[in-house]
Amino acid sequence: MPRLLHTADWQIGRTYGQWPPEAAVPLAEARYEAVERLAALATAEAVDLVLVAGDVFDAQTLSDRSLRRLFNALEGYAGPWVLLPGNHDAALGESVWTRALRLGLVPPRVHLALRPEPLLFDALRLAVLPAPLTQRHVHQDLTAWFDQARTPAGWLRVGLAHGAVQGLLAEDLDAANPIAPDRAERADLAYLALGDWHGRRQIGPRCAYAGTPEPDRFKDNDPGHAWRVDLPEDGGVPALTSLPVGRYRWLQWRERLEVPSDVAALLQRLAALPAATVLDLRLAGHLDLAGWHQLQAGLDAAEARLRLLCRDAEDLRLLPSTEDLQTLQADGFLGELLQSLRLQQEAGGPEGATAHDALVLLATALSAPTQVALPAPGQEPA
Amino acid sequence: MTHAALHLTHLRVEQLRQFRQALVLDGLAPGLNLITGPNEAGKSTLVRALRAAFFERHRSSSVEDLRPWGDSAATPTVSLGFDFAGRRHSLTKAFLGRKRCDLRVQPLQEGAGLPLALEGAEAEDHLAQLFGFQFAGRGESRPEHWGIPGLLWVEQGSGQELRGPAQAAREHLQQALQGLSAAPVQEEAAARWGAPLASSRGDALLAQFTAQRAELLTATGRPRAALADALAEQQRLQAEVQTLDERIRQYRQQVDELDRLQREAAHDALNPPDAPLRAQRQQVQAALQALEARQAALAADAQRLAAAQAGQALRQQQLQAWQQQLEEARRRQDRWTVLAQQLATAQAALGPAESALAAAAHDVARAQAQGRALRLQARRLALQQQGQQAEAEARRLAQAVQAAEQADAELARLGQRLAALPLPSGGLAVLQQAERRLAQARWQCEAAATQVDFDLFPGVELPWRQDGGSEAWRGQGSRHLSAPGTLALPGLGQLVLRPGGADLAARRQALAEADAALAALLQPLGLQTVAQAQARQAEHQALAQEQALARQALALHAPEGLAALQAQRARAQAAAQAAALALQSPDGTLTEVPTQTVPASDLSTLSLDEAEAREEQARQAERQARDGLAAAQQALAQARSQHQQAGEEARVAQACVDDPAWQDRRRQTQADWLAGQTEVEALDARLQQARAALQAAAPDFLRQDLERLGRSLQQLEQAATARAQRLLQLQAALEQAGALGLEELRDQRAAEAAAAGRRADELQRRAQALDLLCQRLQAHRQAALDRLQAPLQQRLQHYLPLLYPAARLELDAALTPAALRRPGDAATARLEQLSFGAREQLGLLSRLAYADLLREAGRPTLILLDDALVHSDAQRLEAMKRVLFDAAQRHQVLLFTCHPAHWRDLGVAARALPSPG
Repeated sequence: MPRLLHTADWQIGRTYGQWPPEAAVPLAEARYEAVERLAALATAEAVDLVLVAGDVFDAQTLSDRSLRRLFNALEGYAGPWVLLPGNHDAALGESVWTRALRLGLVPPRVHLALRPEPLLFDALRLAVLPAPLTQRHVHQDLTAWFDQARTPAGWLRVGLAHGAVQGLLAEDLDAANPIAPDRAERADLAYLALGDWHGRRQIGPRCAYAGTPEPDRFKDNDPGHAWRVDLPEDGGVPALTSLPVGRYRWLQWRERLEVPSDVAALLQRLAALPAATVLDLRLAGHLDLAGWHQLQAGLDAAEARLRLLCRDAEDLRLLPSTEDLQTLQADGFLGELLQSLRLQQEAGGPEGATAHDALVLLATALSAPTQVALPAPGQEPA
Repeated sequence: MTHAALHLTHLRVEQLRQFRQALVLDGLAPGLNLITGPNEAGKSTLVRALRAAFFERHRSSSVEDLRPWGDSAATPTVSLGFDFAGRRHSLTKAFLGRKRCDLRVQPLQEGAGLPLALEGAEAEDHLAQLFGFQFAGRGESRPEHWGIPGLLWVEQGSGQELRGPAQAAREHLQQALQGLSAAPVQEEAAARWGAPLASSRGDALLAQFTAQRAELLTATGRPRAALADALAEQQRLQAEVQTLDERIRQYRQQVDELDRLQREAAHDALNPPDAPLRAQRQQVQAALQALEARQAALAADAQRLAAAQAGQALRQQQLQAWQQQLEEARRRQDRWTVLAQQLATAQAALGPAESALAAAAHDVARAQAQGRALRLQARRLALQQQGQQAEAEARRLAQAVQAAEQADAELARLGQRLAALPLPSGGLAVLQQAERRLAQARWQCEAAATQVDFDLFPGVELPWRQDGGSEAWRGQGSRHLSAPGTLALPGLGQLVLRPGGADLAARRQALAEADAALAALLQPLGLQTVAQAQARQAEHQALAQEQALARQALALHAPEGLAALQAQRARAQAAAQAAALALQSPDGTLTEVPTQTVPASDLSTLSLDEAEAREEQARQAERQARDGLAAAQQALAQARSQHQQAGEEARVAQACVDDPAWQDRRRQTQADWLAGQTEVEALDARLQQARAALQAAAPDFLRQDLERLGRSLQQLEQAATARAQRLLQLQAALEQAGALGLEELRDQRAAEAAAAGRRADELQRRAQALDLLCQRLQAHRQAALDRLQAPLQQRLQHYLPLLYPAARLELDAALTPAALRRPGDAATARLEQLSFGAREQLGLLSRLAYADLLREAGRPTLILLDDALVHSDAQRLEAMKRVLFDAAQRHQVLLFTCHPAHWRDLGVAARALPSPG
């Protein structure tokens, strides 16, 4: 009973430029680590073959170092690998694959499925039918040839493709790289291993998307896994076992803060998050000065603890209370100033945002313990 | 008014500068005090003493100037008393020598506080607190320490200087203002915010934010320093990302191109695109070769045709030559025949010409004879006519002579008759005059005579007799009697009548003389009366007329005289005789007419002229006939010669044509031509066919096809080569580019750009927030300041109209006047632009306004003016006096002056300082 490990969408070379390097670099590293874990998993699970269903690389032009690191990461599993080009790493005339070959990085047990030809694994009596993308996007079904593909009699036929199964994924209705939903049955496949969809998803008894092993976006479609596929030798329905691989959780929170207890609740939830979390936090609502300070302190703590905390407090208003103002000693025209800034903040828009910033600055300056003379140049208000 | 004003009651100075002895200035009024004294009298010393009493520590060693000149042991002492806030204050301050400071405070009324006794520094600090000034840390007290008194105590010549003193007193002024400007609404706000109106931290915050803003923005709001750097960095990185994007785009394009070219190459390898072209080219080449062979055959035929055509042309010429020879022979024969006819004609013409000549000669002879006869006949006729004419003339002349002679005789007769009838020499007029004279004399005589009238009975006659006659009177009558007469009276006797008058006798005499004169004239003529004379004259005239007629007749017949006429008659008679003689002459030629040769009829019908014309005609005809004959003879000779020559030529030509060899050759040529013609036509037909066939095959197009195919093949080859080269090139370029890790690099740069963007954004937001804060702070601060200044403005406006009606003073942040706005002025005048005098006046006004403010705030106000307003003109000084008087209602004013006259109308008595000395 041959056992396969089905994975896809490694997206090696992906970067996270929208975030500061301290978060972006580990997240990029995590992709290599995921491959290393997959190799270890393959060894641990004693699989016979690892199938990677496309988008091994995130781009065609990666540095030599990145290529080398990927192939190094495969060393953890001594068995055969089949790597399929996807839309990010299509088998073009000049591609990341030709470069890897040119650089001599591809060991014999790593099979690059660059052409639509059956790959025969004698020991397993198994033929892999790949449907590599030779252009970035095609609009015909590249798996069509599976139907007529000839393989040795009595061998298992396993399809390997990268694209959108038609009619199933609403978001990809008219996406490129279509795949017929009944391909596995029509082509008499024991299993059809798919890539492109980053979440884990089984399409049919013999067909599934593996999803990316390491999450790379906030879209919550169940990423971070690989399939262990046990193929009955009689060609019966394969047994699929989902294996967790991913390290980081990617979360997207939209919170509204209106009363002081909201802040406490949010901070509690934050504290409960594991450190390997990438959190996109968008805040709205109103806070008095005390709540504001509490929130800032809590967020700063979470930011330091979590892998990444993206905060967006654009819609969060600072509304100093009367007590705040008394505390702040905002007497005379300062009081008027605070009021006018609050009004402008309420009006919203870019000017409202500026007013908010000004309000924060003013409140901070007023909260400073001493009657400050001049701060040292470049010093940020605490 | 919650507090009473300060009232300095007295001032005592001792051992101080020139006041070695005590000078006491007491009884000072609560309002205006005018203290006068000349220069050096000690006004300034008093002011100095007052200042020292308040501003200088009694322990100060910096008051050496107080010491009297040369008195090292002196203790300058100032004592003064003042009432304020219901308390009486007594201060004694001694310097240098026995240093001492005592302050006693006594309530003036019950409940006004406890009495107080302070000494030394404690007393001094109490005063400083009360009056609002500070002490110098060390050394002499300086203006910045003087606070409120520094503002209100004006030293000589410094009245216009306001900024420094106002700055020194600023805190007190602001406190006073804040105390006063809290309007109800603001009080509410103040209550809400728990603070007074003006912000205790506002200025510090503004300074802080301004400094922070200046770190990011320039004064005009442009990014600088960190912000500018961040923006520049963001831009740089974005540009780099763009560059990388472009390179990636190129890379992808190249990859696409590589793919395409590789597919094309693979396709071409399976289906070489040049194979069909090569096959096609071979076909075309074969077709072209076949066509070229046909073209060569055609060219040979064409050559043959040309040769045949040339031969035919030669034969044609030969045939034409033969034909010409034949025609020439025939033509010469014809000509010979024509010339023979011409010869015969010429011969025939000769005979008639000769005959014509003979006839003409005969005509001539006959015409000549006729002419001669006619000429003779004409001569005879002329002679006859001459003779007849001469006879007629002679006859006419004879008649003329006769008539002339008759006329001549008549003339002679008439002459005789005229001679027989004489006429008076003087003419008839003489006679008539004499007659009139007689009649006059007679009339005069009668007038003088006596008139006798008678009327006699019928039948009675009375005879009258008188000298010279008698008569018988009968019937009735009347007579004039000039001479006596006798009248007989038959039967009765006679009457003698004697006329009376003296001159009657003379008159009778005159009558007699006149009668005698007339008779004398008539007598020689043989006449008795004048009437006779008249008759004679008539007869005379008739005769003269007859004479004239006769003379006319003579002249008519013999104009040249009778003799000449007679000679003419004679000559005519002679000519007639001569003509008769000629006709009867014996010369026969003249008389004889040649009747034998000339018919008489001719002579009778022809005129001589006609005959002569005929003769000429005949002669001319003869000449023509002779010429005609010569011409006929010449023509004959010529015709004969030509005929002979043409005959020769015709013979030669005919001989040639008649030659059998010639005729053979001609026949041969004709046969050859016919054969050649057949050949030419056959060749021509063949050629046309071949050409049409060639044209239909379109060899040019075939050649073009060949070229086109060749080029296409070449191009295919070139394209294949280019593609191979391009493939190599692309592979090399892509390998190179791929090694750069472009997309990874781009992501890296994009991340950096994003980071820079975030930083720039943060800084930008911070800058904007700071900018907003600074603007708002300034605006609110200004608004607060405006509200704060309102009470001060109000006080200023209390005084200002006295000096500048309807004007307004603008205050700056330091609460000092900055500008004066007058209604008539186009622009606001900065204070510095005003005159010294005006500035001093405004300075004083401001001080008074401050004093009002301070007093309302419960501060003591004492106004000291040392020789103020010396630069003011009379009008302004007048206004200032009103101002001062008004201020003195609320404040004590000490005015020191050395010009007492200027202040006489201040309403207070001047207090004179003793003169120096």
